[in-house]
Amino acid sequence: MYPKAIENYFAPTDVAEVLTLLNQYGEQAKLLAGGQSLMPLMKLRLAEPQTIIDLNQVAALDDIREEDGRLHIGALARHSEVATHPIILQSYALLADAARNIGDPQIRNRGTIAGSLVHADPSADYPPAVMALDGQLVVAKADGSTRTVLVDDFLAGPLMSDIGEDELVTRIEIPAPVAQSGGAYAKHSQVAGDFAIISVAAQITRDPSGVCQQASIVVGGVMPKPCRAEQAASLLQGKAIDATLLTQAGEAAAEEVETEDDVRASADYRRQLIRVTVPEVVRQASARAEE
Amino acid sequence: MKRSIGITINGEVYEETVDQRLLLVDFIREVAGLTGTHVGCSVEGRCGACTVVLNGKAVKACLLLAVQADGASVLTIEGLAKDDALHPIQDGFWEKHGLQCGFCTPGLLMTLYEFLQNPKHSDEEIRTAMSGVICRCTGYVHIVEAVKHAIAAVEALSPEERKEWFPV
Ligand SMILES: Cc1cc2nc3c(=O)[nH]c(=O)nc-3n(C[C@H](O)[C@H](O)[C@H](O)COP(=O)(O)OP(=O)(O)OC[C@H]3O[C@@H](n4cnc5c(N)ncnc54)[C@H](O)[C@@H]3O)c2cc1C
Ligand code: FES
Ligand code: FES
Repeated sequence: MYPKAIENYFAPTDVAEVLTLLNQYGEQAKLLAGGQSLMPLMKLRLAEPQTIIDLNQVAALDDIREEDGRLHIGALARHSEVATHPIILQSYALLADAARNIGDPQIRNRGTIAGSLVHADPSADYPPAVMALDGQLVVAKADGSTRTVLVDDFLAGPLMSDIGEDELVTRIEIPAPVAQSGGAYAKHSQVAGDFAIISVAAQITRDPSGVCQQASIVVGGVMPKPCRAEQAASLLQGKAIDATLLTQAGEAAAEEVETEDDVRASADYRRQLIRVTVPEVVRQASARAEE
Repeated sequence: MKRSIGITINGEVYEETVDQRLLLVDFIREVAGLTGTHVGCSVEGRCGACTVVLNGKAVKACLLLAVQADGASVLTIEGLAKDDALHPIQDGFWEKHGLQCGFCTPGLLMTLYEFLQNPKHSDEEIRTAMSGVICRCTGYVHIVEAVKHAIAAVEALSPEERKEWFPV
């Protein structure tokens, strides 16, 4: 259970250098960020890169800031930084909730947001959270071009994402929520620090009278990737959020999101979790929108 | 395939030409000969027995390549005590019987080393702080007591003493 021999190890210090190396080594190279998914895969020989391009010395990739009405999160921002960043706690609370729920303190000290999204585990915490916030990934290519892709499109399926061999995710961008918005995220797992059986992310915007103007609800822990609970969200739109409406939203989400059996839980148990978790998370998101 | 690196472990520099695939935990155990850092799960990075402090942060040394730590500073269990004096976190475990077989203990202490620099106090916060290390013996209750003991001891330290016990 040891990684296969590594021919080349590079630790570039800027993005241009990373892209040059990607261009040169292409398909036989792997970018190494936190290593919290890649290293286990290498030990299992499910990944056998000849060339490792270590991103950890690229200083410009880890900053978190608001710019032009958007939150910019550098690809290399660690889960622990996202979980505690003042701007994120203030205006993007559901993202901090998700980051805080990932693994354990050591994993959060190393793991990065881009690494998690590229790895695209359907039970991971960031994918549903970034979807609920309508996040986008900014991707740079070896030929110098960049493209922006909505996270819904970026996540292609279990452990599959829309990233080319010559591409680097440089940052995640999230539109700043309007006033009176709030979000929350919760997950159910078998034991502390494990991947989700079911997780729910919700982002709500209310008007001053408490009527829900905009809602987005995403369920994680389902195949092949996190799923938007569109019907549940549209039920909330234009109504004051009360206990009856919350129950209805939970029922609607449990109805529309397809669940499957796997080693962690049955499809039925997952449905029950969706039914009870959606109301909880929406209630918390709505309370935060009021603050 | 091979690369010359230097890693400072507990204040001492270890230089060696290593296979690029060598894991940091094996550099610590086999090159530096510091076998207090343990290997439990070895593959998926779940057990936490291999936890060390890398540039001030608790990390699982089985999920890093040694070459990644070239030029870095690592603290391991062997670096905690000074002469005959136990580190406050070790003392907590001693006083409150925070271990049985001791296999998880080095990883747990190194995780708590980072936590104790800025300790939070509720049982839940303490339990969250140690959620990355699995203990098969104690049931954790005595460990939580040990951490509380250590928190009190750390809070009683003067700023100078604190610096001495928490150099990184
Ligand atoms: C014990 C354990 C428990 C965990 N529990 C959870 C959990 O509860 N919830 C959860 O969501 N996750 C969990 N994880 C996974 C963790 O969050 C990983 O950190 C994350 O999935 C991958 O991020 P990374 O930075 O470590 O990426 P790496 O492992 O370094 O890389 C992952 C993949 O992304 C690619 N990549 C990385 N960065 C970029 C980039 N900038 N551009 C293009 N490609 C890139 C790599 O080439 C690789 O293919 C757990 C991991 C462990 C070991
Ligand atoms: S040996 Fe188990 S986490 Fe490293
Ligand atoms: S004391 Fe034996 S595993 Fe923790």
